[in-house]
Amino acid sequence: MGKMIGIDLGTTNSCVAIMEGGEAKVIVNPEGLRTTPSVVAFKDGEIQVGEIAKRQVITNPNTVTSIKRHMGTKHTVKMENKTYRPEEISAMILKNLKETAEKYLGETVKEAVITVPAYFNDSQRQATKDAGKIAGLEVKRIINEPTAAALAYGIDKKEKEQTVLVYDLGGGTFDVSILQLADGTFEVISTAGDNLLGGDDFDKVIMDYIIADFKKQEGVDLSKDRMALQRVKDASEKAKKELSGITKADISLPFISMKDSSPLHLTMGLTRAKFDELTRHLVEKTTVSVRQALKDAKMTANDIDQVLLVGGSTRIPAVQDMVKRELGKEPNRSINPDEVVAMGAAIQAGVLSGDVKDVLLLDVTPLSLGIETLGGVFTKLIERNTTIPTAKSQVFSTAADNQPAVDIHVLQGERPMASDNKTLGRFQLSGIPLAPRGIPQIEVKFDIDANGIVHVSAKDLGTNKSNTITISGGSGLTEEEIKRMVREAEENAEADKARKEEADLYNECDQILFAVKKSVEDLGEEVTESEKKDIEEKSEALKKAIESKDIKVIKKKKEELEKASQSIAIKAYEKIQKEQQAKQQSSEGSNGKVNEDGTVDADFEDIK
Amino acid sequence: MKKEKEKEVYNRYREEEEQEMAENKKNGAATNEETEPVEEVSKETILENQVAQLKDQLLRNMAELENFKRRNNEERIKERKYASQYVFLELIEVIDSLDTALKTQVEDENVQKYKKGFELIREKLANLLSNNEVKKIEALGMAFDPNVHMAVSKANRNDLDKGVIVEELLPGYMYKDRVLRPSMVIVNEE
Repeated sequence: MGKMIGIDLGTTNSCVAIMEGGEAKVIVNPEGLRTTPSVVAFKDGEIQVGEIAKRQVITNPNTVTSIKRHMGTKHTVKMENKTYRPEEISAMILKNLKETAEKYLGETVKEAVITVPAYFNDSQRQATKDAGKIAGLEVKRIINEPTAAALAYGIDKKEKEQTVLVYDLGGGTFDVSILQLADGTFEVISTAGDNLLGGDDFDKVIMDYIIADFKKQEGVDLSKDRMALQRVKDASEKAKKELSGITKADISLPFISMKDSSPLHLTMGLTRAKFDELTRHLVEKTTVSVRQALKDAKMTANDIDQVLLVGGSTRIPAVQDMVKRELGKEPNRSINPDEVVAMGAAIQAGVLSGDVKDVLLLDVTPLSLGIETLGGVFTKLIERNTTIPTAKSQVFSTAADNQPAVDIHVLQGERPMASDNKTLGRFQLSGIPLAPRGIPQIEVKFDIDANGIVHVSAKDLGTNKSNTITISGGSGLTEEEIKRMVREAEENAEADKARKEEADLYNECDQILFAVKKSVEDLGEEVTESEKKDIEEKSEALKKAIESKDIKVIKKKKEELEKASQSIAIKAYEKIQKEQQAKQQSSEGSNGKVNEDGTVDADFEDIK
Repeated sequence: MKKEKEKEVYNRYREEEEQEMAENKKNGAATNEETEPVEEVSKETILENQVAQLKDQLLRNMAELENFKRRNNEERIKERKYASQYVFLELIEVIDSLDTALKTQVEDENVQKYKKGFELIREKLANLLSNNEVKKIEALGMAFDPNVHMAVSKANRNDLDKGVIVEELLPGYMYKDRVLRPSMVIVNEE
């Protein structure tokens, strides 16, 4: 059974999406773009669609744009001596999108959900369905674009009845629709809009302004210079996009023109306020439509429960402000407005093919889980937001020689120090055979089942002895508590980092002191008296520094000890090598109790 | 009058959907009944069916996960391949400005020396681009090719062949096998 795809067949751009892992996903076309221009070109019997077709609109008379405007009419286009109906042209776009999806999925696609404007009549809908059929797609459902947007935002999942206003300002068309959701069905109450208004109009306004300003400043008309005009056009579009994020865009076009054989540069700061002023008439046009739609629906702004923004031009802050002002509500705009309709179509496709229904609602762990290790450090085993059921294990060791038991302190939280997190439980694994520190291997395993119940076990890999604890009810934390804990972790990040570093430093010192002492003992006679004395003195100095708790002093003393012990470390290493050789020569030796790599593991430090 | 007619259309669509939903509901109810323990069906049969169903679902989910992993992997490889695309797109805009600057005719010998220096800088940039598989697209005098050229305007020159590029307004660049930016060109019509 192949996948069913969702298609937003737009006037200027189209987009295709699928359901993947329970979520709608837009598929990138071969050119690496997420939307494809709805343009078809004919050249010597060859049919080209998308970006390539768009590039020849000006020179190739056999190019069709905005065919959607003619869907369901008797209108035909004659291309290279052949007559095509609008559904045939649309079919070519659909076929291209189908191929994009097939290339990604690696399998043939046979079924689709296609969106149409809410105002499309029966014959326009039928023509869209036919276009799908011509493209080799069985159109399982035609849904309204605003309905698709509402599905993408999950409005249908809300319990109560909802009235939704969808504001769709695309590349070349503008639509307002008011929908009512009742019993899981959307009904279109009213629509309004402007067939010839879109993002390009906003670009044009900036372009005209730049040209007029430059003429005023420098007396040169850039619109007469095609090369300059091209650069101004690109810069205008870029400035518009920038103004959605920042309040002032710097337009800089060096060497844009020449005057009296000296170069002219165009530099200009366009503020958002100025841009808003220049485009006010465009935004106002859409206001009129919003009011018209409300009037036709016999409603006021108060009747609207949700406002959805669709179409790339709704990224313009002035548009968002107008919608907010006019309807008194914060509009939904968390989903990419260029893709929201295709995503909604994919969700509908998922529902129809049963994909969505069958998706199990998998939970995630709201907070990280782990245990306390040497120095009061919280070592995470399972990171927050991991999908459950899941399991993870890690091997730890002992901190002291001949340590008979380890304490497992199970915690939950986001802070690096154990004491700042919530204790879930404690248990002990005892009966560890006598061994130098760092030798026993204790495997700690966390297992969270689908119900959020946590099983923690500790196992001595040497003896296979183990102990477990089960923490049911997960955390017993409320949503608020979880939020608070995450927030606190963020707020204390700086201070926590310092404390963690401090704890790490103490751990390192502990390890070095231990390692140096062990090396000196192991080497015995091979260490000269002066070396021994030097190391002992520096070890004492470090111990004192640790007592003083002065981080700077500790760091300094630690470095000094490290330096002093270097010669011994080399000797110790050489000795081990010699011993190993000797061992090999005597063919059979007792399986070494020597900590071969010379490093020492602290209590519950990770043995990698 | 027109409004009413439109409303009728919406309603028809709504009815169609409602009908479908009602059918779905009916079917849903039917399956519910089936799963309910009816005396004739043994517990074993029910459990067997359930196991078969769950097994099938598990296999499907596993297959979907495998497919997802494969696609995800392919996409990651692709993304890595074109990772620097946006940086180069912005860089070529800067190079555009430098190129227009270098087209300026200068008479003064001192200024000419400066210009020479900037030309050397431009060469360094050209090397940087070619080392990173960014290549300028040939345009002027070539046959217009929408795969790599974008027609901005058309010309009417009798002395030149039809479909030939008569002017390059902005150079285009390839990044590996992808068009980073098409050349903005004027194409001869007749």
